[in-house]
Amino acid sequence: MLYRIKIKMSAFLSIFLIVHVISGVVGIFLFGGVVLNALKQKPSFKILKWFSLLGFLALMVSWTISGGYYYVTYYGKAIKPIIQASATPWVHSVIMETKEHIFLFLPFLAFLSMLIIWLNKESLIEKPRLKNMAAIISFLIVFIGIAVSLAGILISGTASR
Amino acid sequence: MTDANKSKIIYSVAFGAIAAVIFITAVTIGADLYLPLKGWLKNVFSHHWVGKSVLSAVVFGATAFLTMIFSGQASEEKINKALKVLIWTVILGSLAIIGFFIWEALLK
Repeated sequence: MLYRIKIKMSAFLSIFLIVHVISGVVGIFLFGGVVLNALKQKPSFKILKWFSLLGFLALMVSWTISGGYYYVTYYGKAIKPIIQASATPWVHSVIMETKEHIFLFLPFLAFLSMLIIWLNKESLIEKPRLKNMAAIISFLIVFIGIAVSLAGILISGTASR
Repeated sequence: MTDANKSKIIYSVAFGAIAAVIFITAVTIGADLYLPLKGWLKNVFSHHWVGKSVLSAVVFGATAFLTMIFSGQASEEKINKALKVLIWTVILGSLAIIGFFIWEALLK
C-alpha cells in the first residue's frame, strides 16, 4: 500500500522538521511560564519579559524558518499524498488544514503579549486587568499550541504507519 | 516613552491582531470556496499558505499603523475592550476554521 512506503527525507529537511517541533514546543512552554507568572500576585517581571520575548522568537522560528520551509517544500509533495491515500484522509483534509491555518494566529498573539509585558514592565502590577488580559492571551497561545502539536503528532503518525 | 504612547501602541497592535485573525479566517475559508483566489495566492506567492502568511502580516502591520495614526488616546478601558474583542475573535475564528474543514471534508 502506498501509505506504507517509508518516506525518505534529506538530512537538511529532517533538521528543519526537528527545529520546527522543538521551537514550537519551547514557545508553548515559555508562554505557559508567562501564564503562571502573570497570575501570581507578585510576578517576576524578569521571567515575564524573557519568557515572552524568547517565546515569541521561538514561535517565529517555528512559523517561518523551519515549519514554513518544511511545509512548503516537502509536506505537499511527499506527505499529503500518503495521507490522502491512507484509510484516514481526513487527517489531512481536517486536521492538517486546520493546523496550518490556526497556527497563523499565534505569532500575532505572541507579539502582542510580549509587547504588553515589555512596555509596562513592573507598572503592569498596577494594571491588574491588563495583566490578566496578557495572561489570557498567553493561555490562548498555549491552548492552540498544544492542539497544533497534538495535530502534528497525529499527522506524523498517519504518514509513517 | 510616555504612558499615553505605550497605551496607544498596545491598542494599535491589538487592532492589528484582530484584523490579522479576521483576515486569516476569511482568506482560509474564502480560498477553499473560491478556487481562483487560491490559485492567485499560489501564483503570486509560490504557495497559498505563503500568500496567507505574508498578507496576514501586511494586514496586521497596516491596521496597527493606521490605528496608531488615526485613533485618539487609548485609555486602559479602551485597551481592555480591544483585547476582549481579540480573544473572542481568536476563539470564533478557530471554531470557524475547524468547523469549515469538518464540513468541507466530511459533510459536504
